[in-house]
Amino acid sequence: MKTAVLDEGRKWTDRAFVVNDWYLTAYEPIEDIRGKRVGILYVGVLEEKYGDIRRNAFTIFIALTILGMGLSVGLGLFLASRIMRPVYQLIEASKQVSAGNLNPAIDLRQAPKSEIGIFEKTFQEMLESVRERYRRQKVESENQLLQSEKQASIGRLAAGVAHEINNPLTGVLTFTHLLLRRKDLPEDVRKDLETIAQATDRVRKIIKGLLDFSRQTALHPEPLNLHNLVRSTFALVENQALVKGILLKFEPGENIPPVKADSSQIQSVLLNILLNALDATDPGGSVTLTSRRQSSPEKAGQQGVDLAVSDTGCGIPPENITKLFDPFFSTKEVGQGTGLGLSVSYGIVEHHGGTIRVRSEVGKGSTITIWLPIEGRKG
Amino acid sequence: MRILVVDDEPIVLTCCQRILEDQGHTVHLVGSADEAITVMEDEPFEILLVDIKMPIRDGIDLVREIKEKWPQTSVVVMTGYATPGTIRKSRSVKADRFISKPFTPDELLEILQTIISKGGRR
Repeated sequence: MKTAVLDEGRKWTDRAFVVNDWYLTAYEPIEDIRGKRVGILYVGVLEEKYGDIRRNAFTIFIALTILGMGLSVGLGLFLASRIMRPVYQLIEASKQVSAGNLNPAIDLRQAPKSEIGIFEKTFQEMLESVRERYRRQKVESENQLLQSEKQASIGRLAAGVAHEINNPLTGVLTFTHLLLRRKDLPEDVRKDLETIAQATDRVRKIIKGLLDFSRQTALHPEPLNLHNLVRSTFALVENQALVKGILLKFEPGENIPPVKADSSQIQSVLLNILLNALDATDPGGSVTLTSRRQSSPEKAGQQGVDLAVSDTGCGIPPENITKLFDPFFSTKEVGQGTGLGLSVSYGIVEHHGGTIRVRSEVGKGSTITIWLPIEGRKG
Repeated sequence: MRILVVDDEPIVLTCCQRILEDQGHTVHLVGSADEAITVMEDEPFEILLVDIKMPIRDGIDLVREIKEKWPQTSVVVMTGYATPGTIRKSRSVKADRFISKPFTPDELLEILQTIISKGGRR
């Protein structure tokens, strides 16, 4: 120390044991006027006092650190509850929705302007549209079920009635035809008999339609090229469209596979729907048939083909749509239609494991879509 | 030809009689399956016209017995409506032909003609 301060003129600080305690000491050279070092200035402070201050400062520092940590944990928890809880709720809600519960039992209410709030609002909107679709599907499948039940009970009734009518009808047909074979008939009697024969034949067709509707006709399904079927069916109605001045169009879809179906039955369905469309459309309008690959509207994963017949006709009032497939429902004039065509078509398509859907707007036109499964009826 | 017609409906019996007798066939009419068996045991007929839906004993049952006892007799089954089920059942009891009611005289005669022309091979 003496060398450093006196000889080299440096300041010196150190701790030193004086008498019986530790001191913090500082030494500095004392110089005279000419700058010659003449002595040493010594200052000493008891180290223990300084230690107290240092311990206090350390304690305060630790306390502040702990407080800070506590505060940040608290803040973290607060933020987590603000942000993460709703996120977890959304996750929980998503799980419930995907498990089939469309009304998840969670509280989704946040400040509407926060990002989480917007997220939740979007989620709620999505949920609402899912619910809406579910409701629509439910109504549709209930209608379908109702229609099937109605179909089945009317079918049973029709089959019973038809069986009973067929016996007396055999009598009418037989004797009318036997009488018509006679050569000695006056012309007016012959004409009357011919009228009876024609009327009876109509009754026979109606009964045949009823029995077809009751779905007792055997199916002969085979791989069927729908586009060929559409073209051959178009050939049957082209003249009618031409005469009425209606544009008949076919817009074939791509990659339409053959479907397993009974060609003559499906043709009668197509013919019926096309003729109805032509009837409903005024001259200058159009009837368009489009085809496309489409999975089942009801059974997930079942592949099939849609054949949609759209017309620019008068449309179907909503109150009539539910009655459309009922037997004997017809808006045509008496004698113009039996009201069996569409119900028979419905029976045939259902027998094939397919569906018929109707979309219509009064004054704008209707679209009737037949969906047929590629594999045909299952089970 | 000797033809036996079995139907519980008198009107159908009358129709068949008129149509077939006009063509010179000998026609016998019965209203039930049991009567048909009795008549057949007396003197077998060459052709049998049978209605499927009859009370007590139906046509299918009758055709089975007829074909077992008199295999040379041809059988035409008359049905109110040929469902896949009735066609299958009729085939299983070896009925020769079907005709759906109501029929016209020409339709019935056409069916009979196919049976008569096939008869030589039986």
